[in-house]
Amino acid sequence: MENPKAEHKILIVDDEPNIVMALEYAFKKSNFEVFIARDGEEALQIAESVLPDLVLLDIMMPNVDGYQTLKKIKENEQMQHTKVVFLSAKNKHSDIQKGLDMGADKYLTKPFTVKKIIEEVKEII
Amino acid sequence: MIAGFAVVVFSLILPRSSLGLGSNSDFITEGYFGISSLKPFGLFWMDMLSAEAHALFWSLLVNLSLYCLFSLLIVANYRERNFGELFVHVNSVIGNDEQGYVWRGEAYVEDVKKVLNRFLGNEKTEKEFQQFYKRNGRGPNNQKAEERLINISEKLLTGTLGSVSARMLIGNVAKEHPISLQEVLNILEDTKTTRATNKILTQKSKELSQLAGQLQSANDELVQQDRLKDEFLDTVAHELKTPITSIKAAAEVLVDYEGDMPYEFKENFLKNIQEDADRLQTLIGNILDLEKLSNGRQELQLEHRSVRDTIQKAVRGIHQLAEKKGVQIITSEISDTMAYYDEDRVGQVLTNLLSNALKFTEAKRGKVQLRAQNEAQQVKVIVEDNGRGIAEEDFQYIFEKFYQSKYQNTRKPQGSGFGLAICKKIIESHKGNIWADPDFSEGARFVFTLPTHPN
Repeated sequence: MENPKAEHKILIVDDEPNIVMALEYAFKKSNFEVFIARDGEEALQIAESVLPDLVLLDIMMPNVDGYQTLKKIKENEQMQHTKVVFLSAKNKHSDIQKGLDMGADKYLTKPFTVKKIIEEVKEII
Repeated sequence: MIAGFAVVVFSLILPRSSLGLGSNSDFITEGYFGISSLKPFGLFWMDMLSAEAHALFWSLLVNLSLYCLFSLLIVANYRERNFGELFVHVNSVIGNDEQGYVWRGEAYVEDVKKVLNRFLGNEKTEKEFQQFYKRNGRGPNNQKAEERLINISEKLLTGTLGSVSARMLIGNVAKEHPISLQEVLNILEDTKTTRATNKILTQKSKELSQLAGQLQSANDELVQQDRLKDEFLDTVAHELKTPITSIKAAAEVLVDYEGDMPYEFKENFLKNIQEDADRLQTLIGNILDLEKLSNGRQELQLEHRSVRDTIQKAVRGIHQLAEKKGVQIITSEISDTMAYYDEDRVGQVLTNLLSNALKFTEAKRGKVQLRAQNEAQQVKVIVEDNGRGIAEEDFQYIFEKFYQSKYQNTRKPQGSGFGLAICKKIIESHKGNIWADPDFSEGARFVFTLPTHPN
C-alpha cells in the first residue's frame, strides 16, 4: 500500500466493502496513500498509528459509530490537524447539522459520485 | 295534668284531710295498701322534704314525664314536622336558590329593609337590594316584598345571625302563609332532582376524565407509531441507498479508469455490481412483502398440506449452501402431519429460519435440527441450531422489522433486518404463533405453530 509519490494519507472508514473498494481504487489513482477500516474501533487503531491527513468517515456502523469515532479523533492531541469528512446516507438537515456541530470539516451524503468526493477531499487538504 | 293532680291528692290532700278528720291514718306511716314505698309524705323513700315540696316535686315529675312520653309516641301532623325540619335543616332546604319554594307569605319591603339595616348596616343592605332588583329586572316601587326578596333577606341574615334567628326575625315582619303539602313535596322533589343531577354530573365528569385519559394514551400510541414509521422509512432509505451507492461507485470507477484497470479489478467491480443489484432486488421484494402482509392485502392460498413435505422442500432449497459451509441439517424427527396453510408462504418462513441458522452456526461444526410435532388443533415446528444463540437483550426485538442484533458474530450485520419480521407476519396471518425459546441454551431455537383445521 506504500506509495512513494503519495501526497496525502487518507483513512476510509465504512462497513460496506463494495463501496470502500471503489473509493480505494479511485483515491489511489489520485495519488493518495489509502488506509481502510471497517468500523470505528479499527479506524481509531489505524488512525493512531498512521496519523492520516484526512478521515473519510461513515456514521452508521456496528460497535463504535461515526460520531464516537470523530469525538475520539478530536480528543487525540496527535491528530489536531487531521481533517474529518462524514460520508453518510443520513441526509436530513438535522443529521448534517449534528455532524458539523460535532466538528466534522465536511458532511457528504450517499449516494455520491467518486469524482466529487475526491475533489472535495483535495480541497479540504 | 290529671296525673299530676292525682299525685298531689295522694301525697298531700288525702293524708292532710285524713289527719284533720282524725280517721284511720295508718297509711301515713305504713304507706298506701301497707306498701312502705308508698308513704304519702315519702314516696319511694323520699322523706327528707317538707310535705308541700315533696308533693310539688312528684307531681311535676309525673307531669313532665308523661308529657314527653306522649309527644314522642304520638305522630305529629305534617305542618309540625315541616316546621321542625325547616328550623333544624334550614340550610339544606334553602341552599343558594332564591327561587326555592320554601317561603310563602307576604311582607312589606320597608319592614324587611329595616330588619336588614339593623343587622347588616345601611350600605350593605342597599347594595344587596340593588343587586336583587338588577337580577330580577324589577324596580323598588313594589310595596310588598316578593317571596324571593324575603328568601334572600333571610339568607343574608342567616350569614350573620344563624338560621333560626334569621327565620324568627323575618317571621316578625312577614305574615307567613302555611306551606301546603304540595309545596313541601316540591321542595323535596327539588332537592331530590338536584341530588340526582349532581350524581349524574359527577358520573359524567368521571367519564370525561376517563375519556381524556383514553384519548391521551391513544395519542401517545399514535405518536409512537408515527415515530416507528419514521424510523422505518429512515432505515428503508438507508438500506436502499447503500447498494445503490455501491453500484454507482463501482460503475463510475469502471468507466473512468477503464483504460489501465487490471482485469481482476474489473471483474471484482462487476461482481460487486451484480451482488448489490441482487441485494437491492431482495430488499425491494421484502419491503413489498412486508407491506402486503401488514395491510392484509396478501391473500393466502390455504390448503391442507403435509408439513413434512413442505419442510423437505425448504431443506432441499438450502441444501447446497449448507453443504458448502459444512453444516449438517437433521430432519429425522418430523412426524407426518397435516396442517392448513399457504405452502409458499410457510416455505418462505422455513427458508428464512434455516438460512438464519446457517448464518450463525460455525462452519464444519454447525448442526441444524428440524422437528414437527402434532398437538391439539395445531402443528408445532421447531428449528434449532448449535450456533451462538440469541442474546438476552435481543429476545424482545428480533421479530421487529429492521432489527439487527448488535451481538451478531460477524463484523457487519447480515441480512436486511426484514427476515423475522416477515416470518412473524406470515405465521400470524395463519393464526399461528412464532417465538424464540429463551430457555434453549445450546444455540438458537425458533418455534412456530400452524392450525390443523380452518379457523
